[in-house]
Parts: sequence; structure tokens; C-alpha cells
Amino acid sequence: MVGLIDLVLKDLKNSGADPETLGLWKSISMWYEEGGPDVVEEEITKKIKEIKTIARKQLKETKEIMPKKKKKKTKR
Amino acid sequence: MIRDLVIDSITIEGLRGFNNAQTIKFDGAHALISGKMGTGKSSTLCAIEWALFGDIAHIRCSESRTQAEFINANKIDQKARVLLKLKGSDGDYVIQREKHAKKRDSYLTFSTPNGELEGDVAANKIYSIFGTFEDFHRAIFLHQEAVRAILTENPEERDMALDRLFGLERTRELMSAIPLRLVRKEHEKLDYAKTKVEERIKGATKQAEVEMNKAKKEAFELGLKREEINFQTCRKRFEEIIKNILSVAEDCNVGKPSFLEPSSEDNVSKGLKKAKEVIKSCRMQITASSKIDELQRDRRQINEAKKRLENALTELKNATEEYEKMEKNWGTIEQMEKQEKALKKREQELKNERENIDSTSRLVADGIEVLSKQELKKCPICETKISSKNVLSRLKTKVSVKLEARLSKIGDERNNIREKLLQLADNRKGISKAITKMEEAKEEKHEVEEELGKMLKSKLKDKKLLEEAKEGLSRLNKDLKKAEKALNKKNEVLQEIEDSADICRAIVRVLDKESEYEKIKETFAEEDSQIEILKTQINEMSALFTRLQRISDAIATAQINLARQFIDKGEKKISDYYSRLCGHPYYNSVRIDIDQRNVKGVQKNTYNIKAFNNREGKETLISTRFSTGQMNCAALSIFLSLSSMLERRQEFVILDDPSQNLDPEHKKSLVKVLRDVALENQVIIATQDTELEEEINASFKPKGGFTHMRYEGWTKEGPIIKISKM
Repeated sequence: MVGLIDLVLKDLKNSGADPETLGLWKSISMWYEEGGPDVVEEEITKKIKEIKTIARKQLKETKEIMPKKKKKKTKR
Repeated sequence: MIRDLVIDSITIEGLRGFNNAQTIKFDGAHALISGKMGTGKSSTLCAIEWALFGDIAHIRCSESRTQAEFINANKIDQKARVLLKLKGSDGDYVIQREKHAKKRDSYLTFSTPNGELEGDVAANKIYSIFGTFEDFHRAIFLHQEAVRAILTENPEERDMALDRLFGLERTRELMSAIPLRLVRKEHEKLDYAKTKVEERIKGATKQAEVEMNKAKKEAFELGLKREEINFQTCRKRFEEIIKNILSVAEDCNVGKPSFLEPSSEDNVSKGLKKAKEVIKSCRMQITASSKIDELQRDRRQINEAKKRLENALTELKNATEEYEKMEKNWGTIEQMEKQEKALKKREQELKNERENIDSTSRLVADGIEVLSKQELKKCPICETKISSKNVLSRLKTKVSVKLEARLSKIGDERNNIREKLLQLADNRKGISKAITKMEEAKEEKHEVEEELGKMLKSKLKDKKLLEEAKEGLSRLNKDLKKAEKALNKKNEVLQEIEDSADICRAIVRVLDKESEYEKIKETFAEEDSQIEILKTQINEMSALFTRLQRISDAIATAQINLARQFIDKGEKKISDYYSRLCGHPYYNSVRIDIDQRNVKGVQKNTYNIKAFNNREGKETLISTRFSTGQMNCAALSIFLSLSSMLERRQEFVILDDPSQNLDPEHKKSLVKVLRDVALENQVIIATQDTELEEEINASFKPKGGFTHMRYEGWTKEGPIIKISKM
């Protein structure tokens, strides 16, 4: 695994990956070492959820202050 | 990682043909296990795989099942037990597995130089040394049924297996653990939500603007000028409306309405609604008090009665004229009855006459018949002398002819009378009908006269009453016009108030829509910052996706590079073994080709085993082109190469019946290759092929020799094995 971590890191550096990507890879390899693929998936899903939560909260707030749709009067 | 294990010995008890415990010693040396079919060779090899994995490839009796058909039926304690002793540079490794026929699971212990392990821990340790059960069969134990499997099995399974054999299963796992698809999906979802919100904001602003312009247009159409559209004008107008409404309400007796102080647009709007209601009530009230409905009803009723009377008079006149005409033509009913009576009497007379003539005619006919049959000289009645001929001639010409003429006349007259009677009956019917019609007209006239008289309070009749009705109608029309004029006047006042209210309402509406539009614009400015936050999150998700994609690509590159390193390392050996074993006339080398494919968003290595003609640059898939024997040779060369270079290889190789479908020449080549393999590995070969056995005995000759174990038959205790050192 150590070989793979270094190989991937080298490849990322060579291809000019930004520090965030390198950091993310270090985290992924650490998660994998700690708990295997399940932990990797769990941690990334957690990150997705964090972004989603903030986005959804904003979305909800935006919707709340938006003008309400007018209901069409139904002819009787 | 432990890589230098060799088999030292195996003790088998209660497994298949083995009853009592029997130890077969290998001492880490090469071994040839030979014998006829069913003498226990495969059982010995099965014992090795069962000890390691609790499973036997061709039985596939997994531990989750209860079948225990591989346990010796004569074993008293119904237990199978195998003890596999392996030797490594750091000491002995002893694996012991035991299973009762009636129990589902087996019991495993693993003794290593570092300590004792048991159960799942022991099983995991074995996995870390030998790989999975399938890997063991791909690289260490070449089973007689599985020689070609590596070439023909499902490509996906082969890809996974080779990745495992190359030690890339972690890379594979890691690739699968990165949820690229999920990130992309979530990014798309957020982006879609953002677009929707933006669209809604744009839509709401546009809608407010459209509504505001529409309200303005309506206001201008009502004659308002731009400078008049303000709250001051609206308020002033509203106060005027209230003043007028209060006055009208008093006039109309609808009670005094109360209005809120017009201090705000909202109050004005409410006040206008109230004004509308008051105007409605006033309208209803003035219409009710104007008696227009009543007058209209009277006029309608008199008009209808007048028309009916006119009709009744016309009807009576016509019926009377008709009756008089009939009476003039046909006489009165009494005259007709008299006439009818006379005709009936005459008809009776004619009837009687005809009956008399009929009897006379019959008498004359009888006389003619008698006279024509006999010639009488005297009259049979008065005895007067007669001439028969004369009498006959007179009867025929004078009496009979006259009677017939009379009868004809009577018939004609009777027909004539009947026709006259029919005519009389028709006439009577017609005259009766005319009388009935006349009576009915009289009755209708009387009824209408009564009704109309009541309405006009008059006792006049006929045309005089009609004149009276005309005068009455004219009076009603005058009253009606007067009432309508008064009503219209009141309505005009109400309409003026209503028009003013409409203008006021239009101003309020414009002001309302303008403020709504401004409010939305304000909110929009606020929402822009909200959208910005949302955009940041979307960018964050997009960045996460890009980073994960880059990492995933880098892992894929590493994965393919590592696999390529392994393959490159073994390529020469594979081709060497292949050319020595197979000697194909056209395809002179064999290679494992590696590529990558995207499986559900994850890049995975995929392997193809191909044969090549290096001179002509041609290639083919072995599994589709080669004969069974050639395929066996290719599979053997790959198996033997892989077993020497893989992650989890050990220093022993087991081959169970490797010479299937090989001719003597290829068997010789196989032994030569095995001799090379034996330089690095402990080689254990089981075979029933006497040609191969002889060839091994003759030319295998590894360093340190080998043990030849001959399986010669069975006793109740187990197989009879004769061991000789070669």
C-alpha cells in the first residue's frame, strides 16, 4: 500500500495537482489504512453531505424569501 | 510477507478413503504421486486444500453446508482430520482442520512460529499467505479440472483474480470506494436546483413587471394621467365617493354604511370594496321600489289576455260562418233527419218489391222448366186448353224479361238511396263538428272576457272590451316609462359613483403593483447574495469531483503500471515456457495484454490472454483459436510463470494430472519445463498417466532427487502407498 500511495502522490504531483487534491489523497490513503474501503467511502460521503447540507439550507432560505406563486383562480 | 513455505508432511484421517490417521512425508522435497485411477492420489491433494480452506474444488463443499460426503463412512467417530505441516525459513507452520460429519463448521487451528491461532483469525492468516481459495488454484495448485479455466473463465472474474494475484486488490477496492458517480450526481442536483431558483426569481420579477404595466394601461384607459396616479388623488376621490355613497344610501333606505379612515392604500382598497357592496344594495333597493316589475307584469298579462280575446273572437266568427254555409247548402239538422227518414222508408218499399218479384220469378222459372220438359195441352190449374209453345214463349219474352228489367231498376234506385244516405251522414257529421267548434270558441271568448274584465275592472264584452284593453295598455306604458325614467336617473347617480370608484380602484391597483414590483426587486438583490452562497457550494462540489477524478485517474495509472510491471517481469518466462511446451506452428509467443475499462464510473484493469506471431505481427485470443491440447500448454505456461512471480506465491507447486490431452512429445517438453520449475519450487505432481510417470522417472532429475509415491490400492485403513526415493 505504501508503494501505491507514493506512486499516486508522484503521479498527482507530476500532473500539477493542487495542494487540496494532494491533501485529499493523503486523507484517502490514511482512511484506507485505518479502516479500509468502507471508511474511505464513508468519509467522502460525509464531505458530500456537508456541502449538500449548506447548499440545501441556502436553498431553503432563498425559497422562503422568494415571492410565492399565485394560485390560479378556478372558474366554477 | 511469508513466501518460502514448502510442504513437510500431511496427516490424513477420516477423509474420503483415509480411515485411520496416515502421515505422508514430503520433507520439503519434490514428489511424484502416481497410481491408477481411484487409488487416492487426488484425495491426498484434496486434503491439502481442505486443510487450508475447508473446501474442496471439485466437491465445492463449503463450510456453510452440512453435507459430509467426503468423511470416511467407516470412521467410527465420524470425524475428518487433516494436519498439514509446512516449513519456512523462520520455522514450522502447522495447520490442523477437523470436522464432524454432523456439524456444519470445521474447527481450524494454525500454529506459526509467532504463536497459535484459531477460527477466523487462523483463516485470515491463511488468506494473507495463500490468497483466496481461487487464487490458490490459479497459482499454486493446478487442479486437473481447472487447467484451462484461467483462459476460458468469465473475463470479469479473471480480471479480478489477476488483480488479486498481482496484489492489486487494494487498488481495486480503493477505486471502488471513491464514489465519483455520487459526487457527480449530487453536483448535477445542486446545479439543477440553482437553475430552478434563478428561473423562478426571473419569472417572478417579469410577472410583477407585466402586472404593473397592465394596471397602468388599464388606468390610462380610464382617462387617468400619469401625474394623477398617486395616493393624494386617490384619497381625494375616495372621500368624494364616500360623501356621495352616504347620500345615496340614505335616499335608498339601505342604512348608513361606515368606512375606515382613508389613511392608507389598504384602507382605501377595503373602502372601495365596501362601496361596491353598498352600490349593489342601493341598486336592488331602487329596482324593488320602482314598481317597474309590477307594471311590466300587468302589461304582459293584459297583453296576453287581449291577444287571446282577439283570437277567440276570430275563431268564433270563422266557426259561425262555416256553420251558416253548411246550413245553407245542406239544410238544418232536422231537415236532414226528415230527408233521411223518407229515404229509408223508400228503401224498405223497394226491398219488399224486390222480394215479391223474386218469388214471381221463381214461379215463372218453374213454369218454364215444366213447359220445356212436357208438352201440356191443358192448364194443370184451370184445365183450360193451352198451347204449350205459346205459353212458353210468352213466359220467356213478356213475364221474365219484364221482371228482370224491374229488378234492375229497383237495384239502381236502392244504390242511389244508399249513396244519398251516406252523403247525409257525412253532412250531419260536418255540421255537428262546426257546431262544436262554434261552442268552444264561444266558451273561450267568455272565459277571456271574464279574465280581462277582472284585470281592467270592466263589464264590457266583445270588441268594446278589446278597446278598453288597448286603452289600459296605453296607460300602463306611460306609467312604465315614467318609472323607468326615475330608475335610470337613480342608476345614473350610482353609475357615476361606481365609475369614480373604478378610477380610484385603478389608482390603488397601480400603486399596489408598483410597490409589489419594487419589493420583488429589493428581494431579488437580496437573493443574489443567497445564490452566491449556493454557487460557492456547487463549486465546492465540482472541485471535490475534479479532485476525486484526478485521484481516481492517478490510482488507475498506478494500477495499470503495477500490473504491467508484473506482466513485463513474467512475459519472458511465459513465452519461454509456452514455446517449449506448445511449439505452435504459427503463434510463437503468448502474452497477457492489459487494458483499462470503465465499470460504473470506476477504471478497472482488464486482461486478455493472447498468442502472437512476432514475425508477422498477428495475434489471436487463445480461448477462441487453440485446440484443447494447445490450450492446456498455454494454460500450463501461464500457471507456472505466475506461480513463480506473484505476490502470494509460496515455494511449492502442486500439479494434479497436468498431462491431459498432451501427446508423448509434449509430455517430454512438460517434464523438461518442470525440471526448471523445480529449481525454484518444491514440485508435487500427481498423475495416472504412465507415459508421464515414465518420462518423469527417466528425465525429471531435479537437484536432490524426488520421492516417488506409488498408490497401489486400498485397505480398510486407507490407501496402500509405496514410497521410493529417486
